[in-house]
Amino acid sequence: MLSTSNPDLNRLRLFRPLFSSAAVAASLVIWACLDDGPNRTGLGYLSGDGGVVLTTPLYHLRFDHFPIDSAVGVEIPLSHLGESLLVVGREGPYRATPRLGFQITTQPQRDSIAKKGLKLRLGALSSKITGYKFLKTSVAGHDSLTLLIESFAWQDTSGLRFADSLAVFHRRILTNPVSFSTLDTSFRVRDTIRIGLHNAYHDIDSLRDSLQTRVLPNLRSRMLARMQTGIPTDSTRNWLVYLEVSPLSGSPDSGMFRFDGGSFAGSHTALLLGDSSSLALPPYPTYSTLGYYPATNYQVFHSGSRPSLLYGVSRGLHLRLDRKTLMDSIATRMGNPALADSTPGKYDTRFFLPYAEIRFPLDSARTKVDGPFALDMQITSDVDSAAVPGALLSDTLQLPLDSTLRLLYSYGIADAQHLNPTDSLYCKYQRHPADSALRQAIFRWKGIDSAISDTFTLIPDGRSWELGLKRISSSSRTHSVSVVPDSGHLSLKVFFSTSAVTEPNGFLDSTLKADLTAYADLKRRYIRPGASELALRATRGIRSLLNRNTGAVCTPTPCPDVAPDLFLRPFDRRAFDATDSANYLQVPYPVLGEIEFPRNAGKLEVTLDLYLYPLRSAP
Amino acid sequence: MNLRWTLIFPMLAATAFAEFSPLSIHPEGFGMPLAEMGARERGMGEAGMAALSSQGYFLPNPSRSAFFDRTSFIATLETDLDWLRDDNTSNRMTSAAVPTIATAVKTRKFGALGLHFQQAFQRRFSLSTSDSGVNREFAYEGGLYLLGFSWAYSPVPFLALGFAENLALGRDRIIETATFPSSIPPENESLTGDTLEMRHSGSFPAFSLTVHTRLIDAALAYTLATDFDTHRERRITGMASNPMASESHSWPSTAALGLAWRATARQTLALDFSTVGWKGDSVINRSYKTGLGYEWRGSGNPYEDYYKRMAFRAGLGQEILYLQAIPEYFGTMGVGLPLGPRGHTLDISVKVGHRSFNGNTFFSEDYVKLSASVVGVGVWGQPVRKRH
Repeated sequence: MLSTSNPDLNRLRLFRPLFSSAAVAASLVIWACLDDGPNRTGLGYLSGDGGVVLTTPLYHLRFDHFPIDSAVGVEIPLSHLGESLLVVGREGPYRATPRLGFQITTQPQRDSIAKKGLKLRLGALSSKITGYKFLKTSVAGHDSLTLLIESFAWQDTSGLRFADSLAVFHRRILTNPVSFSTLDTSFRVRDTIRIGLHNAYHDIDSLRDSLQTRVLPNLRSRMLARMQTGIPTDSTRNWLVYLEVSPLSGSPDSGMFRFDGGSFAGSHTALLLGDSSSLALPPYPTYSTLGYYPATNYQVFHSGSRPSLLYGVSRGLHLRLDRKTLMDSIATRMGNPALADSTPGKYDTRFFLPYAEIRFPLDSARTKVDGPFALDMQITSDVDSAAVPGALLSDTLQLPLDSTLRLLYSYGIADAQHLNPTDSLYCKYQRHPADSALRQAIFRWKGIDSAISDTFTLIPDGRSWELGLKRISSSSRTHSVSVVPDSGHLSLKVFFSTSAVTEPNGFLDSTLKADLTAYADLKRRYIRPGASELALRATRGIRSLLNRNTGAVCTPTPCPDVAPDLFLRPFDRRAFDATDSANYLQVPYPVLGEIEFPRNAGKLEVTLDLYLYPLRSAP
Repeated sequence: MNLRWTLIFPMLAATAFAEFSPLSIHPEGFGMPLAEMGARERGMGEAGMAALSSQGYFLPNPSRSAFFDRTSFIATLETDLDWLRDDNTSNRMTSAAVPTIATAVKTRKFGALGLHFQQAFQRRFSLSTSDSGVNREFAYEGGLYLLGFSWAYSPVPFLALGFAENLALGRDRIIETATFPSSIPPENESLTGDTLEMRHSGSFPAFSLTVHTRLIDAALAYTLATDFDTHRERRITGMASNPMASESHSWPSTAALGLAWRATARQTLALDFSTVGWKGDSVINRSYKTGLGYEWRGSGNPYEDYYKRMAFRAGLGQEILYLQAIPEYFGTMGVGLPLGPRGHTLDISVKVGHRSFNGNTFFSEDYVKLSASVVGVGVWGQPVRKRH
């Protein structure tokens, strides 16, 4: 305590407010004014003695006719679950087959089937829809189309609300459609109908002509017989009915019929329980976190040449660039042969790549797209293909029928050096137990994730399929595998996606501040009528290729070889009517297209546009 | 606001500065060394290793705490304001650290048992550049931290022995970022971080002894060399490198000698010398440090006027840094402010220094460091006499 009797301190106390204020002010000055923030002071030291500041900040290199090391057409199991606009038919190499699911849950519905019959009504798309003109022209000359209606229908065994079976069959038949041939034959029945295509599309909506209503006598007979003689024999049970509509095999007629899926106001597709004026039953709604969606799905198949890129069919191109070719090209262009040399280790830190673009020339003569439509495309980068231990990236593994092969090990997230595998992945190839014409590929983890397995039903037609596997707990990465099923063996082209990412595909406006969002402003990335090339960003993929030294020897050896591949695929359901160049309205119905790129001696050649930013070569 | 808080306030308000230096860029070292002593000794030219007192902290010489009369606790804030210059530009930067939290528990029979946290090194430097429209930033950050315990024992009144075991943990990051001009494709992606991260761990012991006579005290200290395990990791935007090989990082031995002469009952003159056996490539070299300090101690009588109980200190020193053999010169001043009648103190010191590098390029640093140590004392750990 200060003594109040001390005259010196009493004088000091007189100045205390001034002293305190000065102290506070001084503190604020220190805080506010003395710190200038980082600037360039010390830059010379970094450049001269630290050796980390480079004098040439950015290189721009362009390589024309850069060869793609391999380009493999890969089918992807593409789901159109819950889509409201569907397509059925056959035209050229395309074949489209939709599926619809219905629930019959009330006594009036069941009575109506018994008393008035059972029909399927398919509603043609409205004339107000974008791209309607193409719909009309596409069916010119196709007066009729014969369709096979394959039904899978049964009574609910628990008697009330399909609690024991709806989820299972919804997932099997719609979400992950299996062939009807693998289903229980006692619940299957077939009908054949014939629809008129040319008359379905008119300049003015006409329900009379645009509705294609046909009876399903065999399905009705089976349902009635089951109601009357089945076990149980009563007619009070609920019913599940799944229909697959497909062009009748062997029929000479053709054409594609786009119709509504019965899920929105004004749609007409329904199962009619009686005549046209009686009960109309649309596909049942299913709830998801995004809302209710109808029990519909469709698939489009293509029987044409394999390497082409397909739109609406779910075929993409798996692209692999040779890193050595790229590094050699960079070294030559920059006049620095040392750049061609691989750095020690698997990680090359000599460059950072802020931007890369890959431009694919188009084979205009062989590129065929429905209508005057522009098609949106995207590239998935950093697919990280990996060969199995001991194999090379180029190896195709052969798995004979009824045998098993170990594909790879999985390591824990914390095991950065891959010393202690926690799981191993096995693949078994076998006949489908219900249909010997089909095959099953069963992927099973052995280890801490042994409860996880994936079973795929495959048609042994020699096509390449990209299959996604379930995520396992011991790895932060997802895995997928590319397979080619034949009747006697399964060829595995091992593309394990480990950290795939879709390349950003937006553009900034002229002020370089705001993202362009109007479809018409994004033409640059579309395959569109009159365009001679497709330009897409591939920054992350090429960056991975530069930074990962796939030619290195790693420790421990042998290490799985890894290549950051690119996967070029259509942006599904993103077709635009290019005749309205100002608006580029989105075409809502399924559009089909086959895109071909010119090849030089079988090799696809592209233009690479790279920006390279040098980094320190070593820490 | 009374006088003591009028003095204390600006010191606390301008909290904690430490080191901001271009020398932080070298991954071979640990950054810039921080003083391993309380603000009392910092005010004495960072000498005072043998300048005994009844409380305080001097990491290299744990034996000194055997002469404490009570349990001591200390926490230090350090602030720094750097003026940087090179051939073309100048800049002012502030930085901060809490380098010391320590206690020494005085027991009746077993000497003094201590626990300490000490930030031994700080790596902090950043700058930004813009060339050809590319905006780049270089950031160097991290530190090396010691956690340890010590034991000091005085078998005879004129001699004390000390031992300390230190666990060292360090984390350094060297980061470069870059944003590119809009003149190249505007959809470019920035380099959000080319980052080299190093984590160090290891332990080392330290030994010391202090000889106490009527007029002169002397102290010797020696810290053993060891190798730290260093794990390195490199990342570039969105991509982690494959694991980098672990390596050893040498932690050198340190030898220190201190002398203190009590010229009068209230005056002490201290002289310290230490050398650290850094060795490595051309960047790293053995370091030397010499400090000379003076202290005028205030009265220990709590009934004296406040200003009569204050201590005043001054000192100067010279150091050859372990990086680039850069010479550094500094002068210090300090004041000790009693906090209450029980012996708690607030020690405040100011250090003004200069160092410069003349190699292929030139830079110089002038700095002012403010340190404030709060030192508390108590009887914890000692027997309590109860009245029956």
